Amino acid sequence: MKAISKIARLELSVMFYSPIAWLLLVVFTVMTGRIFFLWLGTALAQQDVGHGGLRPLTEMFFAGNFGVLQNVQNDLFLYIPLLTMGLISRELHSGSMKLLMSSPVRISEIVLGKYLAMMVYCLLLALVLTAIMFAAGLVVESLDYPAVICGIVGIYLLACSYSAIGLFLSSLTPYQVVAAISTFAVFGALIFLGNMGQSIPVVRDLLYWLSIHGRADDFREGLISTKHVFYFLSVIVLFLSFSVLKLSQGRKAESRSVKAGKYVAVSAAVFLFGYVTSLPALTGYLDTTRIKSQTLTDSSVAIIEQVEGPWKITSYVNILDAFAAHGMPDGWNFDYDRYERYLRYNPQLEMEYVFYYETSTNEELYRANPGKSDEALARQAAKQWGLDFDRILSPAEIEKIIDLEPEQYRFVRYVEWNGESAPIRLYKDTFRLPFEEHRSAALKRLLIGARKVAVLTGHGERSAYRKGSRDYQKTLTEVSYRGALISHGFEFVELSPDGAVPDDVDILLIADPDTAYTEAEVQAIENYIATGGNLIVAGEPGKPEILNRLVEKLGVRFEPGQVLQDHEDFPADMIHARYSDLAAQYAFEPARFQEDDPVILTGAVALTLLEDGPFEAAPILVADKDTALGGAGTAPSLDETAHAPADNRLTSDTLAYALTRTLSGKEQRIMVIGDADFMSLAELSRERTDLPTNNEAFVFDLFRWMSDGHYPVDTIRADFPDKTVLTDQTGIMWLKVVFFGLIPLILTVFATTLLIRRRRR
Amino acid sequence: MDEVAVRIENLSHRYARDWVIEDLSLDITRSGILGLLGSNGAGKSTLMNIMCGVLYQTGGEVFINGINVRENPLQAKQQIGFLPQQAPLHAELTVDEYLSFCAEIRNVEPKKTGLAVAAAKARCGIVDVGRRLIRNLSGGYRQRVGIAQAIIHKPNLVVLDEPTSGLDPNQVLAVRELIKGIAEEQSVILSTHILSEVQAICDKINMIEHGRIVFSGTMRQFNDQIKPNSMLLALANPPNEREFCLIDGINGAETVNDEHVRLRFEGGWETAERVIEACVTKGWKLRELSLERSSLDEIFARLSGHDDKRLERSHTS
Repeated sequence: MKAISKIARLELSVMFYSPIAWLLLVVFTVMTGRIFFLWLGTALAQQDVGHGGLRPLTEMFFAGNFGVLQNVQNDLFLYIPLLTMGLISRELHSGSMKLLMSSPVRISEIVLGKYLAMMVYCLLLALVLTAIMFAAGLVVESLDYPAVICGIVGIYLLACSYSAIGLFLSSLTPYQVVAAISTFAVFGALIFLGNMGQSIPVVRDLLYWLSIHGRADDFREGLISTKHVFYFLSVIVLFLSFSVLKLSQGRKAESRSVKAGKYVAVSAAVFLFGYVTSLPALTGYLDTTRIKSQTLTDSSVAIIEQVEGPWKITSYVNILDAFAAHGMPDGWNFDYDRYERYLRYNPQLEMEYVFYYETSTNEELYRANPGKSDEALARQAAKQWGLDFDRILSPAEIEKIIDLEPEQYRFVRYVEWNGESAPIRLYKDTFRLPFEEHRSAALKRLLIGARKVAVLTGHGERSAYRKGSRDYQKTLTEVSYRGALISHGFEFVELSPDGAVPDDVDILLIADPDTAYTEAEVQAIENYIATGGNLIVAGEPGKPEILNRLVEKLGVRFEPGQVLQDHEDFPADMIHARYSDLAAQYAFEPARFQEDDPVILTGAVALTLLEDGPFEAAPILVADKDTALGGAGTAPSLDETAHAPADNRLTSDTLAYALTRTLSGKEQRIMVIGDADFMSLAELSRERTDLPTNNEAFVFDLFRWMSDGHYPVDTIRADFPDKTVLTDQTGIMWLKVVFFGLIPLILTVFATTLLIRRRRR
Repeated sequence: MDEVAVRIENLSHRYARDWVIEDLSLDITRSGILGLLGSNGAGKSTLMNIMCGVLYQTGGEVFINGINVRENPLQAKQQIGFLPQQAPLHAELTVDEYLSFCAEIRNVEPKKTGLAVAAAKARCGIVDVGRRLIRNLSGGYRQRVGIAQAIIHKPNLVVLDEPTSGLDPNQVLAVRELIKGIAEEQSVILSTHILSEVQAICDKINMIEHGRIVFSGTMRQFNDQIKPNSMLLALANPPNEREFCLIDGINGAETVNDEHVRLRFEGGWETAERVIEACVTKGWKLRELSLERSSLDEIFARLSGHDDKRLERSHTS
């Protein structure tokens, strides 16, 4: 032990008696400081111009993809080899290695001593980061210190791993430059290893484990997982052992096979250790972030904790689909890791991939290959992806296994457990991958099934499947759209109510019928209501009598005419509905950061409450009394500039009522809304200048209320407190003076004086 | 009988295919300076590196004061101070820093480190350069620093691998003096390929060639082996070669050029005296006579031709 510290001390003096160590320290300080000030400036600018507070500043400065820690993570491989290259090769070159070799110290002590010196140097780098953290703490309200410290620990472990590798390569050659360059090469290999040899399962898993790429990511984001800690330890132990082997073997005459055998044995032992410690069942986690951002939300935890025993995710990959790349073997390990947060609660996940081909929605493929059959295209694609075409199922073969037509033959995974299964999709947007809310909804379907929504048809109602601008297809059933309720735990059927509403229907949706329901149909609906079924009724102006026939018995009435609103910029029939005071009690709330934004109802009818209704009624959406007016029985001009008549007061300002009653121990929930456009394709895909809306939040709240809180799964996280920059330009300037001026200057002056004074001796 | 400092038993070593040291056995007693003489590539450095634990032998054992180097390397190394052929210096350190480090890793008590450094510096004559960077020192001083590190922990045995190579003649003399001084307190083994060096400072000598000991004995025994056997005459009036052979003890003559003749002879000085006499009496006009000692190569050739085993037995007992 003593020898180790002595050797480490000597190594550190040698390091700091040369300019490299100082130079790197100064460069590191300036480079990391630069990123910090970049973000600090950005955050302050955003705050000063009114766009601040959208992102946690801890994440922005440190944890984020372009933050300080990520930058250090990316650049670290440039610093370490310059320090490690000399560790041993310098001594091999000058012959001073013989001093150690002939002294009463063990080779392991020599290696550990030199490594300890690197650990100390890396600690200095970590100290620089810590200084930046404290600087950030000075200028950011409630910085999440534990999360940043966790990130710094990750960087430190990465630096130590790099150091161990550099040390080994330095022991291989008496030429420092060769050591440095080969260290760069090994880092490169370790970084890109994860993407090599993917078609052979064992090789894939081994290389994926070996890959150092992204290993510090979890730390950076504030999560300590034992498998990454053990990975870094494994790398360190592996390369330090290699170094000891190399130096011992340098003085021994052994046959090549004996030498190689020792390396293989050490590697095998370390790989085994790495394999065991990376098993999900043996992995422990510590989420250091204040808002537990690296852990599933409570609602997801509640779900996955009930999924006991083995579960499976089968991915059906149509190789003609535009997203086929997501199912290729080189992504399998990453796929698995995407479920890591769930694996923390149930590690018994198995992944399977089924490849097939079928006519896809991939228009570009067909445009680029006119006239080719699907089979020809599939052969072509298989060749490109390096897949064996014989193992790709034909349309006929896949059909026997599963009907993927409802999924439009797009890439889809099915999560399976206990005989149940539910789809998890990819979406046509920039993220593509499902979020926690989608995954948790699918898992919850395994536990409690989907909630079945019957959409009434036959009288010109809004459709769940037609793609018209009035219709609800995108909102309800579009599989490629992230926000569609079909991906949030709901199933939809169209129902013409000539018979009874089936028992398994949880929610009945009646949206804007154009013609009156027949007596039998009314009877069927009333029977449904009488048995306690949940119901959404959405009406439009001009035909109150059609729906009043249903809802008056519930104690609500659609008023004649329509509500108009006096706007400067918008047509009078565009109502900016607000949440009522009672809405929050029913869990209807605007989205975060959108507290003041309206729910837009285009062409809305006011609702009045009848006395002595059988339900308890609460207004959820209301019109703004100051600006909204009642239309006197006639629709207004739809001219964009038309303003409402000035003397027409509203009879009621309520635009949506929540009705509840308890029937045989269960709360029946009915929502009556004076508008049917709030979730139409036209509304949800509309862009209006300076008018963000809460319509999507309202739709989600509506269906969550309708499904008794089950779906969509609420994965909204707690608000973060670190959103304010507490300083101004002057403050930043002073900090810059410290980081770009004072610290580098002190280091430089000290180092220069020291080195010059020594050189003269 | 002197105590055995180093015992080497059936030592063999090879780096790749060829044996550098082959079945070498040797006892080195604890007294004075032992010279390990051999031509370049003879295996001297390999032997020394093995003795000091820098290299692991392929076969055989080395004992330092009875401690097996292979089995108890740390204890054995504690007894040794080693100066490799290339002094193991850290050029970026000062002499004091460097020697302190050397003292520390040789387990000199922390409190006594300063004293040990001072003592080693004093013995090696480098007191004045303690605060100077090793990088800035001359070759002679560097070599002294190298020797200082080898004696700093007061080892029983100091092993010096070609300690004077690369030094200028003055430095060579100074370093030899230094080694003699060290030998007053510790046993010293030094290797060299320079015969005169061995003759100048060694008490005992081992000759090594092709990884085998070809001679082992005292300086006197060695000098007997290498006593002069030819002389070079410069004559203004040289006679026929045959004339020389008539002189008692001369068994060969060859004309080098018009003036110079080389005579091979047996016996000692008396033969030379007879030659001088003959020159004077016969009017050959002797201008110069120099005895020629055997060159190292000749000795090696001669000794290697001998029965090695017999030599070893006769001189190491």
